[in-house]
Amino acid sequence: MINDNLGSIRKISSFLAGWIGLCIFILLSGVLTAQSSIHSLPTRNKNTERPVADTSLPFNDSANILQDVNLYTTILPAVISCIDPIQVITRKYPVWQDGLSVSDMVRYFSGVQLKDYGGVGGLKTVDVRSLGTRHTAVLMDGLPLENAQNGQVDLGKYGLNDLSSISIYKNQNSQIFQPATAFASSNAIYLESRMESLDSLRPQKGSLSMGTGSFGLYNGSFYGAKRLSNLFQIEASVDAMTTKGDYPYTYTNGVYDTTLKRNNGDVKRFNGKLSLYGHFEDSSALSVIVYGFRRQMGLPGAIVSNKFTNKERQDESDFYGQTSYFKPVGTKDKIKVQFKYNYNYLKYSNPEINKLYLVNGDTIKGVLANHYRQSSYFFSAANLYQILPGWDLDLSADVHYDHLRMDLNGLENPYRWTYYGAIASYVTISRVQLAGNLLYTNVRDHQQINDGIIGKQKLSPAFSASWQPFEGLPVKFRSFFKKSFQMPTFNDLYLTQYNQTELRPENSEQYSLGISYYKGWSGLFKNLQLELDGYYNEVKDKIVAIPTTSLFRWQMVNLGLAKIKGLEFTAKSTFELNGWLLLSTLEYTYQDARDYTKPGSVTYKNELPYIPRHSGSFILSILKDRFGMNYSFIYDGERYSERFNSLVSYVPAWYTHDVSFNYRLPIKGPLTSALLLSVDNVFNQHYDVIENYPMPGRNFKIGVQFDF
Amino acid sequence: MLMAGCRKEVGVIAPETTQLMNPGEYGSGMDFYLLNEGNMGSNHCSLDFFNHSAGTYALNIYESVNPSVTLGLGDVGNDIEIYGGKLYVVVNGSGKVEVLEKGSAVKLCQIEVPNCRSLAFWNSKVFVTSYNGFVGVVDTSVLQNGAGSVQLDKQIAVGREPEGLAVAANQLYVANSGGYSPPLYDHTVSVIDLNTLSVSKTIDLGINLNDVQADNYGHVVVSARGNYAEVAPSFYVLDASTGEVLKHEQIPVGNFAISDSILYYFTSSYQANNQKVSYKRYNLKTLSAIAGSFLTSNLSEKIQFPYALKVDPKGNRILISDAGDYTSPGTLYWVDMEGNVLWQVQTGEIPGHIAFL
Repeated sequence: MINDNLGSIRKISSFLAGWIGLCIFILLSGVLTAQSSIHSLPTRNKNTERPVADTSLPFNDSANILQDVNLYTTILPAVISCIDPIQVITRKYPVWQDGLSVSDMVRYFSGVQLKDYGGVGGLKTVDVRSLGTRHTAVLMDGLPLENAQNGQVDLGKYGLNDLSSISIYKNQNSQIFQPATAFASSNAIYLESRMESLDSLRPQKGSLSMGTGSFGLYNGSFYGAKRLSNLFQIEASVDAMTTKGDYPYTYTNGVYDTTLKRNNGDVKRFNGKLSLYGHFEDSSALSVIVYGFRRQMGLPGAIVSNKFTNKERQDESDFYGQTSYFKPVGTKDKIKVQFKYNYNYLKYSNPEINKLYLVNGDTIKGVLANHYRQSSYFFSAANLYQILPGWDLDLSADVHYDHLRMDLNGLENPYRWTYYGAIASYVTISRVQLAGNLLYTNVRDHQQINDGIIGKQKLSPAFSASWQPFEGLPVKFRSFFKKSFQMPTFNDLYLTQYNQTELRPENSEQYSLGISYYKGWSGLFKNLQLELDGYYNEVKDKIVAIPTTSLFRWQMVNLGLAKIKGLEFTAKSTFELNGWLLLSTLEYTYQDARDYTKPGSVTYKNELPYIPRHSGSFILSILKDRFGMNYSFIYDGERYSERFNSLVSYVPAWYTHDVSFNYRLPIKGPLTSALLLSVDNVFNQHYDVIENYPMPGRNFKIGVQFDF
Repeated sequence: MLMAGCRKEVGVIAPETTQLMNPGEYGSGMDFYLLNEGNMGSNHCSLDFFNHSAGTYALNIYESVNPSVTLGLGDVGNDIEIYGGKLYVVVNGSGKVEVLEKGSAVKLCQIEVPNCRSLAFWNSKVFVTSYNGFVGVVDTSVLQNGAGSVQLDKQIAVGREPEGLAVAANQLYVANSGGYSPPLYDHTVSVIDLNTLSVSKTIDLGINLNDVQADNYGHVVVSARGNYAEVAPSFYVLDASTGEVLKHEQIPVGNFAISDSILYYFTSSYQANNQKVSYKRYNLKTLSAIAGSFLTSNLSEKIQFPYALKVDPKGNRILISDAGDYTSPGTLYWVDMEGNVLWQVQTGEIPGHIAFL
C-alpha cells in the first residue's frame, strides 16, 4: 500500500515536473522572441487568433465570417486559435439537423459523459472529464444559465433551432474579455444564438421546419432575421415540440426477456426568443435578448421490478432577459457591460402521494406538489486593455443575486449574493500563447432557518500555455492548470432538515497537457486535424448525500476524494473526390476515475459511478450536390452504477448506429427546401445510460425545412 | 456490430458464498435470511442467507433461485418475516410482498400492495401496512405456488403512513407516522380488533411513530421518531390488552429488538450524524434501563451507521448490521452476549432486516 502510494506520488510529481518544465520552456522561448515579434507584427488582428464566441460583437464574429466562405472545407478549426482544448459543433455541421436538443450534439464530444435518463424528457446533464456535473457551467451567449437549486443545467431543455454553435471548453473560454463568472467553473459549455449576416441585398433571412417521428413526436420551428436599418437587426425564433415518448424497451437476464412500453414519458416543450442587435459607427455594439420557455412532462421514473408505471409530473417555465453593451474606448481599451434577469419556475407533483398542508390555519389534504421559484439577477462589467500589441489585460467584476422560494416545509426561502472579480491576461509572443487569471469569489448565503449569514471567500488561479515550436510545422503543444470550486447548491443546503452551515465547497484541480496538429491541402485530401490531450484531475471535498436516521432525510456532507486520469483523442479529416465530399470525425476518451475517499474501505480505488474507461464516437458525413448523408456511431464502455463496483452495479457497454439522409431542392430565388430522414439506433439495441432508465430503441424522424 | 464483442451482459448473477466458520461450529443457532434494502430507484434489493450448520454466508441468493422473475426481487426491501412454511419479503418500491418457500427461497407468488412497509400475522391472515393509509389483509390459503399476483382481501383504513405493526392480545397495533407531511406528523396508534378486522380504538401517543413490537409479558413497545429537532425520539410501553400507556421512556431509540424480557436498542443520532450512538438494553419486566453497553467500545466505534438488530432466539447471539454510508455494501456482525465479535461479513446495500428460519 505504501509503495503504491509512493508510486502515485512519484507519478504526480513527475507529471508536475514535466508540466512546469514545459511552461518554463515556453516562457523562455517566448521572452527570447518577444522583442522581434512585437515589432514585426504590430497590426496583428486579434479576432483571427482568438476563439470566437463573443456575441456582443455580432458583426465582427469571426465564426460568421468563416461560415460565409466555403462551408465545409475552409472552416478553420478552433484548435488553431484556441489555447485550451476546445470542441465546437456548429449549425453548418451536417449532423446538426438530426438533433432535437443541445444534448444530442454534446454526446459526440470527447471527454464528455452525457448522463441521459432516457427519452426526450429525461434529464440530460454532462460530466466533463469526470469532475462531476456541478463543475460544468453552461453559458448562453456568454452569460450563465443559472440553476442555484441544484447546480446542473438540463441540456434537454434547449432546442437547436435558435442556436448557431455549441462549444465545450475543457478549461474555460480563453477569450478573456468576458464576465468573471466565466472563469469560475472547471469547464464550460457555450451556446451561441443563431445570427445571420444581413446586408442591403439580403435584408432578411429565415427558416421554417416541421417534422414528425416515432413515439408521437411532432416538432416545428420558425426562425427569422431582419435588418431594420444600417444599425439594427432583429431576430425571432419559436420552437415547439411534443412527444408521447411511449417507446418499447426490453430487459433481460438471459432467462426472462421482458418488453414493455415506456409510460408517462410525454413531453410538451415550447420556447421563443427575440433578439435585437445594434452595431454603431463608433464600433460599439448592443444586444438585447428575451427568452421564454415552457415544458410540461411526465417523469417516467426508474424501471424496477413490478413497477413499470409512474405518475410524477414536472411543469417548468423559464424566462430570461439579457442585454450586453460593448464599446471601444480609444484604440486600446474596450468595455463590456452585461445584465441578465432570470426566472425559473418548477412544479413537481406526485398524485400517488397524499399529504396534509397547513393553509391559513386549516389542514388540507392534497396530492404532493412542490413549487420552486428562482429569481436571479446578474450584472457584469469587463474591461480589456491592450498593454502592448499581443498583450491584453482584462478586469472583470460580476454580481449575482439568487433567490429561491420553495414550499417543501414552508420555511425555505434562501438567497445568495455572489461577487466575482477576475484579473486575466493573454499574451501572444510569436508562436507562444500564454493566458492566466486569478479569480476572487465571495459568496454570502442568507439562511432563513437560523437567520444567519454565511460568508465564504476564495481565490482561484488558472494558467494556460500553448506553443507551436516550428513555424512550418502546424503542431502545437498546449497545457493548462486550473483550481476551481463549486459552492453547495440550495438543494444541498436546504433540502435536508439539518442545518448545513458546515458544508464546504467542492474543490477541483486540473492538469492538462496536449498536442494538436492541423493542416489543409488543396488536393483530394482536404484537411486533417489531430488532437491528443492527457489530464489528471482531483476532486476534493465532494458533496455527497448520506442518509440519517430515516431514509426520507438525507444529510449532505463533504466526503470524498476522486482522482481522475484521462486521455482524449480527436481526428477529423475531409476528402473530396469528383464532387463527393467526405467529412469524418473520430473521438476517443480513456478515463481512469477512482474513489480515494477512505483507504481500507470496500470502495477505495473503485471506479467512480458512470465513468466508463473507454468511450468514443465516429461521424461520417457524405455530401454530393443536393444529397447528404450522415452516419454516426457512439460507444460508451462498461461502467458501474454505484461507488462499489460489483456485478450488481455493473452496467454493460452500449453503442448506437444512427443514419440520416437529406436532399436539398431549390424552389425559387433564395427559397430552398430540404427533406430530412433519419433512423436512430438502427440495430435497435436496448440499453441504459443510467441504470433502470431505458433508452429508446430504433426510431425514425422525417422532416422538411424551408430556408428563405 | 464491429464492437459487439465489447458488450458484456451480466446474465444471472450467482450468489457469493463466504465460509465464516467451520461446519458445525455455530452451535445451537439458527439459519437466517438478511434483507438488504438497496437504494431507492436502484432495484438493488437483495436477499442473503446464513446456513448455520455449514457456517456459510451466501450473498444475493434471490436471482439464482428465481431467475425468471423480471428484474428480480426489486426496489427497497422493507421487511422480512417467516410465518408457517413461507418467507414473506416486503418490497416497498416494487409495491409487492414476495411469498417464497421458506427453506429454498423459491417464489410461490406475490401480494400486490402499493407502498407496502411492514408485516404481521395472525391465524391464517397476513397483515401488511401501506403508506397509502391502510393495513392490507390476505388469507394465506390463496398464497399458493403459481397463484401469480394476489390481490388483497381487505384494506383496513388506519392513520397516515402507517409503519410498524404487531399482534398482541388478539389485537393488531399499528403505528401511524404521517411521514409525508412534516411538521404535521401523525401521532396515533390504530388498534384493530382481529376478530372483526376493524379499528376498535385509536391511541394518541406522540408524533412520528415508527416501530411496534410485542413481548411475551403482555407489553407492546412503540417507538417514536420525533421531529428530528426539539421533539426527540422516545418509546412507549403499552399494556397489550388495554392499550394503556405503562411507561413513556425518553430514550432516543433508533431500532430495537426484543428477546424474551430484554429490549435491545441503539440510540438514534437524530440531530446530526456525528452524534454518538449507544447500544443498550432495557428490562421490560421491571420497565427499567439496564446499565452498560451490549457492544464493546471497539465495535461501537467501528460501526458507522447501525441498522438491522436482531437477537438469535436459540443461540443467544446478537446480529447487528452497519449500513456504512448507504451507498456501498454494509457489514453484518455476529456478537455474543459479552460483546465479542465472533464473525463479520460483508452484506449487500443497506442490510436492514433479518428473519430466522
